[in-house]
Amino acid sequence: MSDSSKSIPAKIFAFFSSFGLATSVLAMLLVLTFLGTLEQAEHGLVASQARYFESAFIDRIDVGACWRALGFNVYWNIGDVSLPLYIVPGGYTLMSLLFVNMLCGGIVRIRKSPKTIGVIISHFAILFMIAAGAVTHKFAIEGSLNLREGQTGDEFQSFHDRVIEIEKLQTDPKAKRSVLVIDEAKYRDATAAGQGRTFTHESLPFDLIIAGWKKNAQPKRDASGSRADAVDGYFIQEMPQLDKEGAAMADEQLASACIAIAKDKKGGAVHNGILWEFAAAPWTVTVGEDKYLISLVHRTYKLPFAVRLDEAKEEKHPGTERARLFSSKVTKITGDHEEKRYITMNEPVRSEGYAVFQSTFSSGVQDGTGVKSSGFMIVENPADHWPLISCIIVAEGLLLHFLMMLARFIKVNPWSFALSLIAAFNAAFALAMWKLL
Amino acid sequence: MRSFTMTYFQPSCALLACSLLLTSCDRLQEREAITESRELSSHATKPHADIPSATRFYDDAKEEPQQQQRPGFRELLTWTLPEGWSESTTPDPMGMRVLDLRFGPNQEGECYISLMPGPAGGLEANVNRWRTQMGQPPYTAEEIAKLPTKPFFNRDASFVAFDGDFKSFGAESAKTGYRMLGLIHSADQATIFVKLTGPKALVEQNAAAFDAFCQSIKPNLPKQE
Repeated sequence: MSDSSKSIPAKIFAFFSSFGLATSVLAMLLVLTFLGTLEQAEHGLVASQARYFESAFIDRIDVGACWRALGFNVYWNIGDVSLPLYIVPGGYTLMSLLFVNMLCGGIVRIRKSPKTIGVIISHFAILFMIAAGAVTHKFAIEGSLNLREGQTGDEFQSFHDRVIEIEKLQTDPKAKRSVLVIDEAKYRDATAAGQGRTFTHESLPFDLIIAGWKKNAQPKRDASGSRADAVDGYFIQEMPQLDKEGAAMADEQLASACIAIAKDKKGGAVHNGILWEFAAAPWTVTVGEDKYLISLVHRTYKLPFAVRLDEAKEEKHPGTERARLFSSKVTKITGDHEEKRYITMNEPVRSEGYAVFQSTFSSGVQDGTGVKSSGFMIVENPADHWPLISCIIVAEGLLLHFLMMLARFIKVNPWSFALSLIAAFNAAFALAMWKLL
Repeated sequence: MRSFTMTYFQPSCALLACSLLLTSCDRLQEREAITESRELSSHATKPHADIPSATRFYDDAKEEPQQQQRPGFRELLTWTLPEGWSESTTPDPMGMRVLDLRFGPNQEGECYISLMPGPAGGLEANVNRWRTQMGQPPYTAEEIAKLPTKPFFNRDASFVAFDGDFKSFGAESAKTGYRMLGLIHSADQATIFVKLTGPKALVEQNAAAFDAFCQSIKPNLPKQE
């Protein structure tokens, strides 16, 4: 049947299942990976990931940054050149297209026969891997928990998500504490100092106005006392997001700040303060006899168990000051049940969908406390093991396919030859893993 | 004659731009209800209220050159040394000790005062750190709450006494048959520690001296003229 005689749905299906689409999508993913990696040098990992891999369409390509990352500015400095675009599909769109293409072409359209069963299994596993990526992107949470020896914690802070928290100070020390939370996305556009967004809650005796938000800033003393934007003798000084070498600072190193105005709902006093991510303590607003603590912090997540750091340890390479291994002896506490566990950088504690890795160690000398502490990276990812599972299935599928082709070539029964060898491979693999672990 | 498209294109664009601008302004002026909240963990650090901006923004140190030099922690306290106790002649490697004392026939008994700003990690973390140094399992929150108190600095301080094998910070091996006595007074502004360690028999001989020493520690208030 010629192309012109096909119905429209058949043409659409043919397009989405075509090799041409698969090749184009893979080529564009290659270009995206290349550009995203180059831009990362000046814009940082988080910004590049958001622009290239987590977007439906790319808003712009910083040609100047890519040029400098390739070192071409040594020969010809083109300056700051960027292409404002909204037509190039981002990673999100391309991966969605690849999923549809693989489903239509690799599962539905492909010829079903014993000869192609291995390939179909592998295609299915690749679909599973793309789905794992989507689940990770949508639902995975990463953060950190820092504990000193003897300290217990059951909350961790997100690496990248910031919020404003408002806590009413409890007079009873045994009372349950809670905070109101405002996500950064709700005030990130309130960048002008004179115009802000107003947040309100029935339990608060004041409205909170957030204005003058800056991604990376530091409160500076208004030494001359002449600045109109000064609050309590300080003003917000915007800081560069590039380091001395011109490379983008890591997102975790940036400290956002904003002006907060608490306006009494009964038309009374107006309190002004500066919220800063690295502040040593929250800003206090006093209304009548009540005190409210307002802070700009990283988003906090609760763990379903508590971790107590019993001992933090650092091992160094012999004769050097270079760290070889950080490890921690911890107690995992779930209700009344306590369990001793050991954590290192490559040996996390996994429990209830969370993985706790050792990420940093402090001897307590530099911070002047004299108490050793460990920093743990905590990852909650519902699709944690999915990529491993899909890789194993891809391997099994391709092994089946190649062994069946080999069997046909050497003229033996393909099923018994391929399946018996796969069973032998799997047994050897399981034995090796059992011995290793 | 201008085409229909040209006639209406430019005003339409201007109208669209204005409406977008107005929309964004309106959005910024909107009142937004706070819909999210969370409960804090019982392990969360105790909040500090009414902290001045200079302290919040780590700007205290910059005030020092303009003002009178702050007194050292040591100058903030007075004490009476028990008989047979003396100040250590070797400097504290961590530089954390306000007063570092030795006692016993071979100066193997050790007692020191340290003072840290803020709650310094809290009572539970510090008691359990000491328990770990003595090779003992950490106390639960209930056990911490049941710790005895002794009057100290015109307030109550938590008192601890543990037997075990003592491994001090940075030590390669533990010293067996040791006893530790300690007092911790934690407040929002500062936490003061008095810690005594030594061979069990020696510590028991000096327990009364430890109590007397703790009672003698007082704030060094400026004299009235």
